[in-house]
Amino acid sequence: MFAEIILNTVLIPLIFGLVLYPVTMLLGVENPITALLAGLLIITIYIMLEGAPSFPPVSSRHKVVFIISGLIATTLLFSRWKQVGNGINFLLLLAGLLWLGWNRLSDASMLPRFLALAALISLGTFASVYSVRNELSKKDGFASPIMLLCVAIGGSVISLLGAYIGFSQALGAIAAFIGGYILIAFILLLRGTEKPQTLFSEITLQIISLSVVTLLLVVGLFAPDVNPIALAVLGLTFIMPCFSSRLGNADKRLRPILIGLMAAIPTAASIAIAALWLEG
Amino acid sequence: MRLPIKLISAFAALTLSSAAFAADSYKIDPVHTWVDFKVNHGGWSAASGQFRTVSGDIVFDNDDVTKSSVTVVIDASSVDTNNGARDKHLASPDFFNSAEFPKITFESTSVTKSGDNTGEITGNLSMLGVSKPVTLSVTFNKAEGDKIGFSAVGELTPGDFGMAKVAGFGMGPNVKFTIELEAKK
Repeated sequence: MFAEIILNTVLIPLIFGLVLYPVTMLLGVENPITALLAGLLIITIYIMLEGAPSFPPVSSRHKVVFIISGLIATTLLFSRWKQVGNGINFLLLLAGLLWLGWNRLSDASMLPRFLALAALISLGTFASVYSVRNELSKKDGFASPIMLLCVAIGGSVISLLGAYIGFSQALGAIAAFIGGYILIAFILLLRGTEKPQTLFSEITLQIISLSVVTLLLVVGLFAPDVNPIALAVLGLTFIMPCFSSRLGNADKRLRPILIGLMAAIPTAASIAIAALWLEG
Repeated sequence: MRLPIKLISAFAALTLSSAAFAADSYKIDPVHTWVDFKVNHGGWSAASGQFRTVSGDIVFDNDDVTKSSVTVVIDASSVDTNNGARDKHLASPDFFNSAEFPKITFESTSVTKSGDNTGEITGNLSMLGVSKPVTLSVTFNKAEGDKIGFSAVGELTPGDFGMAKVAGFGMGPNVKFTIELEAKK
């Protein structure tokens, strides 16, 4: 059983990430097929862990697949009209939040969670786009993938602390998937065989980012013991790539590590808040 | 004309009152009701727990038990396995998903008699938004005054209700449960 959990949560997603990198480089970073492939791999990972959804969906665990599929479709359909696409994705995620949590709306104690998740949606939708557009050069191509890696890891730990192991696994698996992608790029960078470049196109970044946010919505709504402040602080990780220009002329091989440390600040803070809240 | 009307009235009163005696309505006594479950824990042991909050109604026909019926409502968040952290995990969407599906309900559809004080109750168990038929083997223990008592056992596969993590985490795959129930008029 333990071996199966490791296989599905870590090894297979990691391999998916390792495979996606050469495919992306082969087809071209900006090729929408790589974005679609990334989205399909995330859905595959999710189904591997949570099972195939029923139709019509019965529970939030089923609804997630349909929300992520919708987000992938709109992101790809509006890839040429990005601002329209961003707006639609934002509204889709808000609608997704209401769809997932409709039976919790009347519960006044849920208000902080809904507010935290709305903040997370805002940051996840727009900050990821902003971060890509404002990377000063391709030398910080690692910034956005590392940001997503940190959000996924943070979400996984917060979910675990919130007594929701299943989605902790799912977010951990997406972290392994992104990690595999980053790992191979970083190894090539260290070996000097890869020149620094953008690792994710804007639409790939959006698809992965919005998928992670969708999983976090379920954690925020249904994990028995989740802390809303921790979720909101985790959302700040989305804006960390904006500060990569502060690294000045740091060595290209050192930059991904420095960016990782920078992105880890709000992630670590959110985990600390969740852990301390649990202790209290 | 007056006599037949009186006769009809008397007959109707007799019929209605005997019907009232034949099938009495009871409320499940939550203080004296226990819903326990046991599940294989990876071959190591039979992990067990119970639900603390149970309510429901029983219509019991002592003359013809096949005309009886039962409705049981369990508060999914009241699961208790003698470990707070585990109970929280059991309340999560991995298992009972109590925030999204707060109630587990059983509504009988048929009652059959198998012995002097035993029978089977078949009904629909609704859990996690899925409704499936489940059969309980029931023993009628006692009826005295305004109170009745039953014991029931049953078995179900949580995976049938979408609770795939039971098997996924190496448990089950089946869960045995017992219901010890007292009800008052």
